[in-house]
Amino acid sequence: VSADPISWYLANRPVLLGFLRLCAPHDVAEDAVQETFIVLQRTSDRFRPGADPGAWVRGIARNLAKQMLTTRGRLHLLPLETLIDAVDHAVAANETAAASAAGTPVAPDDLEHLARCMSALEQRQQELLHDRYQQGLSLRELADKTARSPGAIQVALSRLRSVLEACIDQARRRAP
Amino acid sequence: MSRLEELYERQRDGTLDHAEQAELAVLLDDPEHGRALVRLMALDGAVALSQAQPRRRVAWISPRWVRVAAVIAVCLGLGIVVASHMRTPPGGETWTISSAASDAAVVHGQHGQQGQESPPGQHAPPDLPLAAGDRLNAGDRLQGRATVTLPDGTRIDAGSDAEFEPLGDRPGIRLLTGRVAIAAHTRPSGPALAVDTPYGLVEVRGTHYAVAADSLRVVVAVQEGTVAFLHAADPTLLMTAGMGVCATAVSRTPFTLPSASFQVDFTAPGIAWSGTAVAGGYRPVFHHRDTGTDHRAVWGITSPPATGSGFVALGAGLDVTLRYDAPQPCDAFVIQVIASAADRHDFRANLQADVTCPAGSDQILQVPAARFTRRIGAGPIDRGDEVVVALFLMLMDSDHQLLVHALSLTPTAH
Repeated sequence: VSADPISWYLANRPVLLGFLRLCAPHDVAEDAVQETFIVLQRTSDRFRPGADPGAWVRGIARNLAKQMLTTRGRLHLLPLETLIDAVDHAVAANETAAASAAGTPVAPDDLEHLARCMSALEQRQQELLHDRYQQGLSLRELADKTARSPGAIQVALSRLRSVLEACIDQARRRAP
Repeated sequence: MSRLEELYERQRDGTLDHAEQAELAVLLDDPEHGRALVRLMALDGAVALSQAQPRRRVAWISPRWVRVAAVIAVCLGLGIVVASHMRTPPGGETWTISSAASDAAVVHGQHGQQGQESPPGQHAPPDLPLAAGDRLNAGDRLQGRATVTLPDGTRIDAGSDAEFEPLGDRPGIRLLTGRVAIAAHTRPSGPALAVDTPYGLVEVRGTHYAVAADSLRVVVAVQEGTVAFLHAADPTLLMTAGMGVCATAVSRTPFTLPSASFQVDFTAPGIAWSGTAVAGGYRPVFHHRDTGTDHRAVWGITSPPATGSGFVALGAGLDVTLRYDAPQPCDAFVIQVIASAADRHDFRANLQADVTCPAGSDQILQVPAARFTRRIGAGPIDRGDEVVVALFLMLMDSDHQLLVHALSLTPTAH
């Protein structure tokens, strides 16, 4: 478990980005993650040792995302506070899991495994992941693009996640 | 696929209503669901972080004359806008806005009149800020800082002073005023991508270039590939990387792009930090921030107004020189650079390079730009921008301790 906010940020950037993607559109989430790091650099001296660094970072990230949505006139896209709190609680409850153990969330240490696993996918599967997670296309946009239903896209993404997680777990076991 | 996954995916799209959001929150009361959600989020974020875009060299021109002649440009630009609309046929391909500043706007043309409600995803509704996914059609005019992606992947980064519209009769834009940087995909067939300016047509024969225009002149700078500049009064000029042209109504003058680089030297907190080396007209000003630990440092870079048309694209190229002087052996370390501009929503750079530790201590280690990967959201730095660059090293020794020593940062010159 990280002792300071910046260490927490470094160890949990994927989760933080995923967290913000539930709270804000793709572009805002990415901006907020980046901005969070800058704010952490400026404010980490205010962090009290012993406090929860994850809560500190997520609090900053949430506020930044909310500010960005406000300034961009898209505050209506912010979900219910109860949902954000519930997701925040889930992150806090699971960050004590042993890093890189089988079945644990993907961590920065797994990014190389992930890249290899993704490169082993078929081209269309890679494109789907790219469009969904990098380009931020919605299910509807993906459905239009691929002439499939949004439900079929959801199922395809679910299967791809399973494949990737299994591949990453396997890579973790092989790693020295 | 579980109900949790379904709600998760739809919440990412912002399509859950409040009842479904509440349902998702209730589901998360179950620790197993909470754990599953965190795994979903982590994989989501990791895939986004792991998928670096193909490296593109993009640079900006920041001609001071654009600002100097702003008033004239506004007056004359209006005339250009009117004239160009009169001769622009509607139709052509639909482009997607990837990101936009809060004050950017689309003035809809014949395919979406301002004040008229448009179908979702087709046009940005009037009076609302542009958002990623909004469309730009032939006949529309984009004003302000935004990034537009063409169907072939070509990216147009428009400056805050830019105003352009898609050409209706061929792939390309009509640049009315301001600056655009273009990372163009080579088109195997059909007409080349073009930028029509008041004083000439810029035609892509290769890949990456930048164009700035106002009512007085047009400047083109080529970073990669070959660009043709078709001037009304002079023969067609073919330009390759490192070349530029400044054109007015009566003539065009080729020039060689000035080199631009700067170097930073600093040491970790607890060790004296220093340094500014000037090259290419840049005079960096550093604001060192002691974060209280020995492995991070933040500094600001302010480049003063400059003459000519040089530029620095930190996100496009970054060479790091590390003076390695580790007190203990290590296997490898990671250099990460995250940069952000104070007033530039569209500039975000996140660069990372995995480096093998050199043998021995007090080694000079060069990490060229090509070694940096996992770049997300990178954009150009403009002259005059105040940029905060946070750079830190993660030195993975046996104890996974983080150490840092002296280094320098040199954006590659174009």
